[in-house]
Amino acid sequence: MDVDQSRRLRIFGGAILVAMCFAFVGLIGRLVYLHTFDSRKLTRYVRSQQIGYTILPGRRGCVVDRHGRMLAGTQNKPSVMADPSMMGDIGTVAERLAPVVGLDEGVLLGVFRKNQHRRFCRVRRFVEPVEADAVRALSIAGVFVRDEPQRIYPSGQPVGPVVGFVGFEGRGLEGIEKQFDGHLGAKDGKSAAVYDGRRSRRPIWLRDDLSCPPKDGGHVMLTIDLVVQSIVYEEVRDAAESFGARYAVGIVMDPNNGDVLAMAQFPSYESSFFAEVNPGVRRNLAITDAIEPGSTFKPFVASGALAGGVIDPGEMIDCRNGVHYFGGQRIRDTKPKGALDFVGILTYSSNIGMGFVGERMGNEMIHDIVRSFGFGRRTGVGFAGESPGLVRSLDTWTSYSTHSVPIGQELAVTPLQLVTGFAAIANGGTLLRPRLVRGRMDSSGDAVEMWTDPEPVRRVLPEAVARFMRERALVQVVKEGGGRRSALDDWQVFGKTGTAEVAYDDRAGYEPDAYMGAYLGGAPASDPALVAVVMVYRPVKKLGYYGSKVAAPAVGQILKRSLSYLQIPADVPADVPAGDESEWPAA
Amino acid sequence: MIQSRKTPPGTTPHATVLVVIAAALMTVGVVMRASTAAELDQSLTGHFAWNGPVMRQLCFAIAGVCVMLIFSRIDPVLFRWRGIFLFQPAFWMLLVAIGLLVCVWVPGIGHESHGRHRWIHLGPVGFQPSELAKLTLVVGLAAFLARTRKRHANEPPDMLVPAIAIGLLCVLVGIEDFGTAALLALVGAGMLVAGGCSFKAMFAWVIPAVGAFVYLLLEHPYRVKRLLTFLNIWKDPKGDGYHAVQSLAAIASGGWAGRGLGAGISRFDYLPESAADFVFAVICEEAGFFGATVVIGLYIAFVYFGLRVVRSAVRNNDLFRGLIAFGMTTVIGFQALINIAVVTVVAPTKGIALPLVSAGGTGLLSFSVAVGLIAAVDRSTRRAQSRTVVEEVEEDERVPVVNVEPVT
Repeated sequence: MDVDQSRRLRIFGGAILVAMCFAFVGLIGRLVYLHTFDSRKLTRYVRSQQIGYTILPGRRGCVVDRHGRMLAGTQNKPSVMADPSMMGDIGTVAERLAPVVGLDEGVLLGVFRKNQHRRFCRVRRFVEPVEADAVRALSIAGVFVRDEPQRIYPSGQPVGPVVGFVGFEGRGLEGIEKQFDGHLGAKDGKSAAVYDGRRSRRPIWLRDDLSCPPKDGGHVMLTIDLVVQSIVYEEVRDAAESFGARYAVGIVMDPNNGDVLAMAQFPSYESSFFAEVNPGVRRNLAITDAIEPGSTFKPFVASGALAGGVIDPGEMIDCRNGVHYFGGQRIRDTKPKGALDFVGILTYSSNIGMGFVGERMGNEMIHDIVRSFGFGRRTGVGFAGESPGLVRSLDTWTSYSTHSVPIGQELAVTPLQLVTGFAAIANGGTLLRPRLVRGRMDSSGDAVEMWTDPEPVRRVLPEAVARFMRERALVQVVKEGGGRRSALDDWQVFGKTGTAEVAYDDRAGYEPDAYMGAYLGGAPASDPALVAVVMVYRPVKKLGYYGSKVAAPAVGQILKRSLSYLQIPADVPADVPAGDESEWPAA
Repeated sequence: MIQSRKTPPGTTPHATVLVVIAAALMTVGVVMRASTAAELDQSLTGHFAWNGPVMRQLCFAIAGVCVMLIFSRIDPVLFRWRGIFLFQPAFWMLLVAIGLLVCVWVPGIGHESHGRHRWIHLGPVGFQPSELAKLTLVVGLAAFLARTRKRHANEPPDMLVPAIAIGLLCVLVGIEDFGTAALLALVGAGMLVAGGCSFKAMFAWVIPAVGAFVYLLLEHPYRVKRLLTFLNIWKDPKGDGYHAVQSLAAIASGGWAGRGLGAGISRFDYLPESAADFVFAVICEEAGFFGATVVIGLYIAFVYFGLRVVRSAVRNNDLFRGLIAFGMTTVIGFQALINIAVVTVVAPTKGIALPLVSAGGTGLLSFSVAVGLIAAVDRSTRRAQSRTVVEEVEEDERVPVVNVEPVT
């Protein structure tokens, strides 16, 4: 009987087993520690490795014209994607895939190599459904087809510069797309799922609590009427092409509410192919580029003179037969005339006559009326990159300004400012905020905000003055003056031509043989429904450069076609004797 | 004694408790197997098919309970030291264990899994000889240490034979399975300490033991790497630190209450060996801290009742049975301890299963034998005690129990 050994087993054996129990308790302590102190870091890690997200792309809203015709929209189009890490041999994959997606095998191999350690790369964006089916039919591991939202611009070139475009990342970079990016832009949703740990990452179950649905973008309705827009685009294109102009711009506005019905330029571009055009062409020139207006500016100063009472419509002014020196500044007229009344000065676009008018008004009055018509400040149309034009402050005006500003020199205006000012003359003297956007709708198409009522900025002219300008002076321009080529059979057009020399960008003075021919017109004179401007910039001189030749016919055509389309009733020309009506058979 | 007076002969409360605890742990194992074996694209009938992993584990658990009950009826005295060398059951067990450990390397019989030679396949039955090595070690050491008792009174038992036996088993197992070798060394050392070996003599064996472990460590470079990785598992969470990080991730994602049985995610190819070596992490994930504490509590209870059995055997002056119960308890306790320490990243990663819970038949059955033997010790001890009490024996010697073999 060995008591010693039994004691050892009792004491040491017992001690070992008791220690073991304490070690187990210690491991419980370890678990407590893990849950208390390391839990946050570990659960974050678990989340990052177990939960995967699938982006659910939201749909960017549409840009539509005033009648809901689509100018910009979004459609889903298949794209070919790849996960190079899932491919067996990237060489054979490239070899098989290349002919189907129409890419060079080497290029494809390069794409795969570059993204070898990524789980995702784009092989080709936006393929045709037939190609997508062909790729699916190959069923290569690691190559798949997924729909991606593609921005489409069904209306093409006519509206390109107005609508603008969206970059590859889906953000608006120009035009309305940029201006209303926040409203149009969709918010992508995501679908969260728990994935297994394999390379192929199978989803196990969805985590609705971490998922959110996509939020589609709202829509924007423009005041543009696509038909009028197309008319203007065509006419402007024809004008620019037939006179070899660098560019031409045309705007049509409803003078009664300030809605821009059309705003086109040539050369233009298709928004879908924005990347292929020169950034200089991407600008909406009607809003972003200010140039010296020339004689088209005369009606604004002249109406200011009438309103200010410094000239009487019946008063005759001696126009010095074509040449006059105003304090050393030589001013010429293209059509030398002797004495002209107020209407005559505008009809024959006499620079000398306007010089005298300017002298009577004085700088301050000229400046006031110019600013009053909204020149030298942004119109508030709401378009990214709008130019305020250039009207220098009164204290920098010299005695030359007195004769230069009335004939549209020493300042720069945008085509939009010009037509907006002209609309004020046309509608009886109220300057309205020009509008390009008619309203905003949410993603389901319900209106969020609509702008339909006219938004007066200020009254610029008394009704009578505006009426006189429109129905007498500017009608006379069309009947006898430079606007003859814009005359229409059914509607009485009123307008004003202008031919400006192109000023140097970087220094004083004018470039030789560089002109801008412009025409401001509206119809019908009795109750104007439309006003329009066409500016033809740098036409080839020998083909013609006067506004009356290069721009007036275009405005005539624009008005004719647009008024027909809008079903504006013809107004009988004023000089048709009233008795003619009796010849109509009685109803 | 008072307690045993109340206990009718033949009933064994400690043994019953131990079997119930073991059965509870096996049940946990079956439930976790049902959870970890679930596949996404599997039907319920496929999941619980007769040849499926869940039913397989259930069958093994039922077989394990049967094995426990059978072995609890076998008096461990069967394995005690016999006078004649060739009749030593322990000697033959050792021989068989060593033979099987070598067989692992024989092509056609040995089977490679995860790049390690740990398995023997005989037809459809797979078998891990290292499991037998654990039982052999305990039985052999108990027999040897109890045998030396009477040879020279108050003299510590001889160290040479047990040290060589431990060393041989450790090295043979350790070539392919470092974790189990460490467990064998731990259990062996524990038994030498508890069995009455001289500390001085044991100290002399420390140097060769350390040498052997360093050799086993350096033999496979991945062991050194694992050891270094353990120091900073976040250095390469997707490479070397992957097991540890995934294990902690599973534990943490369970939180206090757990994700719910079957709702774990880490078993979907995140946590390697989620059904076997890292099943405790899945328990933590699905049953939470509280469930994991219950499992640990079961092990504590098991060790506690094992200790009670040891003590009652000692009280009965039955060294051999006491050492058997002690050894078997330490095998299960130490292995559970090491496994949970690995899973909770207290110890570097080794391939070692959670006793009675992890998936796998060999382990389950051999641990059932171990539990059965502890129960048998308790049973026979009680029977001896009750007989002593009932008969009110005058003589000092307890005849059926005490070793009367002459010195060989």
